[in-house]
Amino acid sequence: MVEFLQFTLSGVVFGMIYAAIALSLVLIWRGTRLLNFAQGGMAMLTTYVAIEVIYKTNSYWAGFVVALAAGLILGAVSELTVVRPTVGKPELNSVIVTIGLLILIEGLAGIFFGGGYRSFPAAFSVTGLRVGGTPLGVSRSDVFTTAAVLATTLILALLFRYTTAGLRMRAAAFNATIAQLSGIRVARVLTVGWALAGLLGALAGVLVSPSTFLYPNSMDAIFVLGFTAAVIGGLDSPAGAVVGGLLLGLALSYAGGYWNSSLTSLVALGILVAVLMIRPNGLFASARMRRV
Amino acid sequence: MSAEAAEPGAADGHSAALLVDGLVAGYGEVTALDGVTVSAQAGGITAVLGANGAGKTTLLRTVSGLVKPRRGRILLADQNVAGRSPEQIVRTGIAHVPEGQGVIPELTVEENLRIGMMSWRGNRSARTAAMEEEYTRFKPLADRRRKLASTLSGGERQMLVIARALLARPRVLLLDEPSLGLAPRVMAQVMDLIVRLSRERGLTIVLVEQNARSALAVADHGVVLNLGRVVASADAATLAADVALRHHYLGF
Amino acid sequence: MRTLPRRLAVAIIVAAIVVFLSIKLNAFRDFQIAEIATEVTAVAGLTVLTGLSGQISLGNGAFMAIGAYATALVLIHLNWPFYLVLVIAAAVTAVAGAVVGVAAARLRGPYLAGATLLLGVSLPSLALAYPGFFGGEQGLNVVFNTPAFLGVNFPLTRWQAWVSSLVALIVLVLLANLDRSRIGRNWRAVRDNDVAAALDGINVAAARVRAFVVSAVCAGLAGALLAIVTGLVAPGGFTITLSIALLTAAVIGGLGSLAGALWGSLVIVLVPVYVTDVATSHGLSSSVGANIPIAAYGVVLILVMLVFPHGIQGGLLRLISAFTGPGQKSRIRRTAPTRHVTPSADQAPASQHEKEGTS
Repeated sequence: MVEFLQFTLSGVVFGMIYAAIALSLVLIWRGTRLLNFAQGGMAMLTTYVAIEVIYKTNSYWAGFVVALAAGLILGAVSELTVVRPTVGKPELNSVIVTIGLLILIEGLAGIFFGGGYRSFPAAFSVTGLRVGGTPLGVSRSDVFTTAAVLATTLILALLFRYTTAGLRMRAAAFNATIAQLSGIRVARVLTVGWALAGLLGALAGVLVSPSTFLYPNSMDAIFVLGFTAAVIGGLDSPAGAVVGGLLLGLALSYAGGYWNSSLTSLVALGILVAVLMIRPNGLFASARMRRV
Repeated sequence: MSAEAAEPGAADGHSAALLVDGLVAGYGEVTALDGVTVSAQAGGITAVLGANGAGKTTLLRTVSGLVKPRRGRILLADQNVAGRSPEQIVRTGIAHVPEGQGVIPELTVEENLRIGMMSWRGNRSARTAAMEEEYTRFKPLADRRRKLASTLSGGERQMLVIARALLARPRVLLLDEPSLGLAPRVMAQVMDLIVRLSRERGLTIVLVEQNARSALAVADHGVVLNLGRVVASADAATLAADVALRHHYLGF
Repeated sequence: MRTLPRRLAVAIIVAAIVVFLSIKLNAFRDFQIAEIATEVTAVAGLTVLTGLSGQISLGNGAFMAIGAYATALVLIHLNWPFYLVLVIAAAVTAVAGAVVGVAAARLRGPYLAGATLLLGVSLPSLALAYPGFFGGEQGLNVVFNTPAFLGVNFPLTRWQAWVSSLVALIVLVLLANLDRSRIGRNWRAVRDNDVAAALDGINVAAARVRAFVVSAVCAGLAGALLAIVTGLVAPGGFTITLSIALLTAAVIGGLGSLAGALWGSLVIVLVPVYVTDVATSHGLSSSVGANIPIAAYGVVLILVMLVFPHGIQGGLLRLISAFTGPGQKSRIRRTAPTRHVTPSADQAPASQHEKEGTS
């Protein structure tokens, strides 16, 4: 029973990381109908920036904040320079371009920060918490991770629903033509969308790197699982991203714990296939017609 | 060039609020507008008619900036706005209500209306006041303001898109087939609304309609397009009386 | 078919060129020829799947793994002659391709991409989970020798280059035939508008599964070649990077084009090597030198896509038609007409409804 609790809690924590990546992918997908393959790489790069800041200032929180800011900037810059020119071209071009961006970022990381494994500090203590003597399998840091992702998700949701800026983004995502005709600068909105996605990725990066160590390819696996979570939830659905992330986190935690930790990615595949068999567009997909 | 193109400056001596001069535009290799000149008199209703594929929708899309013109000018009271982006053009005072679903069904009625004011720089209270004004004008919208726009009927959606366009405080309103898909009674209401808008607000309206008969019934002036060119331009009564023209280009 | 003799002639000419090069160039270049031939085999299958039938796959590396492991296991346990091994590899991957194709038949676009990506990532982990049979992380060693009739002095690398090139050419000729056949036409119809295709009487699901099987077999054969050329089959050789490289090669070369498969393979095999050479010749060692090629490779991918939106083959055709004038009928193979959403700017007024839910 204790084991089950530990697996569950640890599954939730990782699930939140996948959810953050999934959310960033959903943000970009809804706004631009693009898959950003460089999302994990961007998260890795901002985490490197964070570690440098932490070394120089001896402050974790300075690094944390700078990472998020760097995520905003990196997202916006990527959209403006690399992605904007692929608008109107065949669909897969943007996929290759973001793959190129990913490879470029990983190369740059290797050049500027070296290819070795670096350890990344956690926000709070990593000793396991206990409740009445029973180890929970999670630490204060893990609680922070969960809270941070949930809080960011909530803030973004509120932003989208209740602010004019959020309305602009939703309008542009649902119907870019109407949005333009109403005076919404859709191009700017897209850039903001990418910036926010960059922020989410940066958050995921700093939260997960204490566990995975930091190296140029450290976010690759997380990206794949985040992408899987987004697909499970439905690429148009932010709620789906969170649910998908949690589902995946829990399932992999149980599978790794009770069965075979080498087979977790196959378990993920099994879940993905099972979900897509029933709902080819993800759990929260709605079969609606959309204007292009 | 067209046989009976209207003189720039329009017939009645009223100044043209919107003058499209020698517009050439298209998509890829297709040329949809081949030197179109249309003049919309201020405060009046100008109907743009013609068969499918004549270029009517392209004309509106080019004026509103969705399509970049290859040649020609779009003059809004002496200011040439050709080539600007849609976001810029709506700020100059041209609002376009495109054909088909202009409503964003995933948003509420109120949110759809707020979008209309995105080009504003005004303050909060001015916006709220403006919205209330539209709610007063369009009662059914007021009743449904927090509901999703997908719950509106066809006629109500048309009201919503027009209300939204009006909130952009335009001087010129481009309407693309506002009666499409509406029941005859509702269509009559929409046409009625259009007439009131032009009379009460002095709004210049350019009305594209497949249903030429009802369009000519409300319009002051009519322009007939065929294959991207203007083939007739005269006041509405004259056009409606020209049986040969009607048969040839308008189907009735 | 009129064009079959023409294709065979082209194939024979290419084969002759390869033989010539393999004799003239050194062993490392022979190895590169083999590498390129292997890539072309896999990329050609993928470009048919994605370009002709419109199904994106980020997991063809998994089929390569299946082919490679099948090859290694048969050679180790049964020691059959290589041509038989190829048949086995093709058969096994055909079955795998059918299974995946059926599972994927209802998936579109990014959902298919996600599923195949995960397939590519997760399948090789089976080797780690069952190390007794699959050799675990160390993998399986493959022994491949030159046949006796060539004599003892015949370089192994040259033989490997010949074998891989032969397989690649056979695959290309067969795919070219498929492309022009009714099957190929059906694929294009399904890609462009599956509803219309179904109304035309085409069995859409069967066509899609067929495409997956074909591309899986190509990848499986490529995996077999990989096994005999590198001599080692291990999970580390089938990372997500491989699957992504295959798609990259297909798109950069020109999606849907077999010639494009060649251009793309040349790019992904030669560019990293070239850039590494340039870096090391400048005396850069250490992590900077090792990573500049990576960064440069990323830049190349971005630039090629921005400059040649229809891939290298598309760019070449444009150049050719620029020289020969407007009389030449353009044979640029367009991919499916889906574009990603752009606000306005020269789009046709007919509203295009993008259906979110399918099937």
